[in-house]
Amino acid sequence: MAFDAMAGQLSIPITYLSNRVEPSYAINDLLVRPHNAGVAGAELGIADSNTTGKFLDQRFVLLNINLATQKKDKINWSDVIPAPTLLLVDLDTETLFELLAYNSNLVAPHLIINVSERSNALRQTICSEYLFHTTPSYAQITDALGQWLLIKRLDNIFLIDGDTPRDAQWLESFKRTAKRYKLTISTEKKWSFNSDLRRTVAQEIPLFTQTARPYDVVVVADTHQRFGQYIPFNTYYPRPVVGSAGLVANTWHPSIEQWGAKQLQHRFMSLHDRYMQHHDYDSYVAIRAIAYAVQQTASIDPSVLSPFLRGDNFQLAAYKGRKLTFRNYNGQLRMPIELTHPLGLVSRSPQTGFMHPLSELDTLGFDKSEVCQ
Amino acid sequence: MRPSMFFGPNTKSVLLAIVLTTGFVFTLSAATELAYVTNEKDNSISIVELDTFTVMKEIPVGDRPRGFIFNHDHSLAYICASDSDRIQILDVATDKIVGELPSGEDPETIALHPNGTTIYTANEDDALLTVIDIPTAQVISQIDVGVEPEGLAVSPDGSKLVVTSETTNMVHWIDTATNTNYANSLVGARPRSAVFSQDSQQLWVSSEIGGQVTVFNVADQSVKHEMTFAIKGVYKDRVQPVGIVLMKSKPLAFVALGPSNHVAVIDTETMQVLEYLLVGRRVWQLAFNRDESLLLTTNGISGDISIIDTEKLKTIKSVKVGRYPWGIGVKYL
Repeated sequence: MAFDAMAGQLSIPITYLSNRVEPSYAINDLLVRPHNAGVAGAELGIADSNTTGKFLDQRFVLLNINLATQKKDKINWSDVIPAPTLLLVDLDTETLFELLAYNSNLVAPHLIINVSERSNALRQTICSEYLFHTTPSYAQITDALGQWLLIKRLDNIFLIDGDTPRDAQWLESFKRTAKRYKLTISTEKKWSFNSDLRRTVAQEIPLFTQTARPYDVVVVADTHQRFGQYIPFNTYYPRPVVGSAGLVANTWHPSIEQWGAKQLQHRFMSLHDRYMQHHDYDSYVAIRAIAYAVQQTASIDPSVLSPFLRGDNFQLAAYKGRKLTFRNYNGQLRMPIELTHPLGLVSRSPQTGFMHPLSELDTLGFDKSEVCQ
Repeated sequence: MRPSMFFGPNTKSVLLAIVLTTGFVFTLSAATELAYVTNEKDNSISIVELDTFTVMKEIPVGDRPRGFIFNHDHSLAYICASDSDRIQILDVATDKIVGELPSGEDPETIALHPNGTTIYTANEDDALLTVIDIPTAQVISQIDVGVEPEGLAVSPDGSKLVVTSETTNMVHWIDTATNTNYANSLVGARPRSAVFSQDSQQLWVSSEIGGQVTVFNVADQSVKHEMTFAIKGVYKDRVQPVGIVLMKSKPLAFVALGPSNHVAVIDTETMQVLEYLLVGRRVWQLAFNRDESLLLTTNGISGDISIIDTEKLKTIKSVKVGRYPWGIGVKYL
C-alpha cells in the first residue's frame, strides 16, 4: 500500500459549503428541518473516517462555511475557497451553477460533491469530471415511486401540484416517470391555498379530490411540505397517497435498520441526539466516498480523487445492501431508494424485475444516452 | 454406555440401548446432534434436531441475540445478547441461562481462546474489542479497533487474534499475549468473517460489499490469494461473501454469499470455486456438525436454516426457525 511510504500524519480538510435559507412558507412544525440538517451527517462521516484514519495516519477535518451569513452580493469564489479543495456543497440551484461555472475555468479545480440539490437539469446538462452528486436526482426519486406504483398496479393517478418552482421540477420529473412506465395521469390539479387546512381539512380535501371515475392513487408534489400531510385519509375515494406525503421516496429514514444500518443510526443518535434524516445521509455518504478514495489513492488531490471516484475500483459500503458507485458520465451516485411511511420502511426500489444491462440501480434516473448530448 | 449427563432434557427418551442391541434405527428415540440458532428478531434460540431436522424447542434469551459459540466440551454456550449489552452463558444440559459476562456495549460476535478461559467480543457500536476472563467474569482489556468491528477469530495456536471492521474496511491483527494491535491490513469494502486455517498459517477474510475473499499469510500479513465469485443469473452486486468455514477433513472451504442465496464451495488447494449451492435468502453464518457430513446455514430473510450434505454437495433440507436467524453452532454428541 502506498501508505507505507508516507511519513507523519496526513491532514485532510473537507469544506461543507452551504447557503440554505429556509423558505418563508408556513410549514408544519413536525416537518421543519433540524438546524444542522446535512452537516450533522458530514460530522458523523468525519468521525467514522477518522476511526479508520488513525490506523493510517490520516486525519479528516471538517470546515464549515455558511454563505447565507455573509453579504448577499456576488460571491467572490476565489476568496471563499482559495486553494484546490474537497467541497461538499449544500447550495441553492443558482449559486451552485455559479460555483460550477467558476470551477470549470480553474486550472486546478475543486472536487465538488453536491449533497442537497436534486435538480434534473444539473444531472443532464453539467458533466464536469470534478462534480459528483450523493443526493439523488428528482428522476431517481420519481422513478423509484413509479416502479412501486407499477408493481402495485396503481396506474391511474390523481396528481396534485403544490405550485412552487421546486414542486414544478418534481412534477415534471414525475411526468417523465409516468411516461416511462405507462402510468396514466387521469386528473391533475393545482392546490390553491385559499383555505386554512389545519381547520377545514375534512371538508376541503374530499371535495378537491372528487372525480367522476375512481383513480387508483393520489400523487402529491409538495416538496416544501405545505399541505401534503393533510391529504392521506381525506381523499374522496379511499386510495393511497404517495409522493411528498403518505408513501415517500427518499435516501434514508430513521426506521431503516437492515444491512448494518442499525449501527449507523445508533452512532448518529449518540452524536447528535436526534434521528438521522435523508439530508444527513446524503452528506454522510459524500464524506465516506472521499475518505474511501483518500484511503485507496493516498492522495488528497482532486485530479487524482475524481477519476478514482468515477472508476471501476471505487466501491462504497453505505448501509444499502450493495456497493454504491458513481455514474462515470455525470457523477451521480447510484443508489437504492427507500419507500417509507412516517413510521416505517415499506419497500425499496429498484423493484424486482426492473432490469438494466449495467446495473439494476441504473433503472432509476438518467441513463448515459439522456445526459450531456 | 455413554455418560449419564448426556441424557438430559434434550433427549426424548432413552431408547438408545434398544437401537444398539437390535440394530434397528429408532430415529426419534436416539440422541442426536443439535443445532442452536440465535434468532436476532425473536430474542430466542431455536434448537434443531439434526436427525429429524425439526425444531425441538425455542428458548428465550436476551435482546437481539447474534454471535453464538460453545465452550470446548460443549457443556456451555456463550451468546451475544447485543441489545442487552451482555454475553449470556447458557447451560446446554438444561437450556437455561446460568450466568452472564460483562461485554461492553452491543456485543456482536465472540471468539474463545484455545485456553478456554479468555473470551473476546466485538462491540459494534463503540469500535472496541473487549477481552474477558471467564472464571472471574472480569474485563481484562478493551482495544481500540475500527468502526463496526465484526468478524473475530483466534488462531488455533492461540497466539493471534484478528478482528475485522466493517466500516473501516480493515483487518486488525492483535497479539493475544499482550492484547496489543500490531498490524492493520486494508481489505475490500465491509469485511465480515475472519477464519484461521487449522495450522494457523492462513487467514481467510470475506468482504461483503467488495464481493471478495482475501486469504492472508499470517506470518507477514501478505495477501496470498484474492477471489471473487460469479453466479449465473445473479447480478454481481448481489454476490456478497459473509460467513466462511474451512473443512478439516477435506481441502474445502464454504463461503456464504448473502443475498445471492448461494454458498460457494472452494477447493483450498487450487483456490477454485467448484460449485455454488442454492440455499435460503440472505445466507450469512455457517457451521458444520462434528463429522462435517452436514453444513448448516442461517438464512436471515427467509427465517430458516439450510442443510447441505457435504459429501454430495447438495442442499438437502431447510428448516424454519425464528425471525432473522443469525448465529449457529452444533452441539456434538
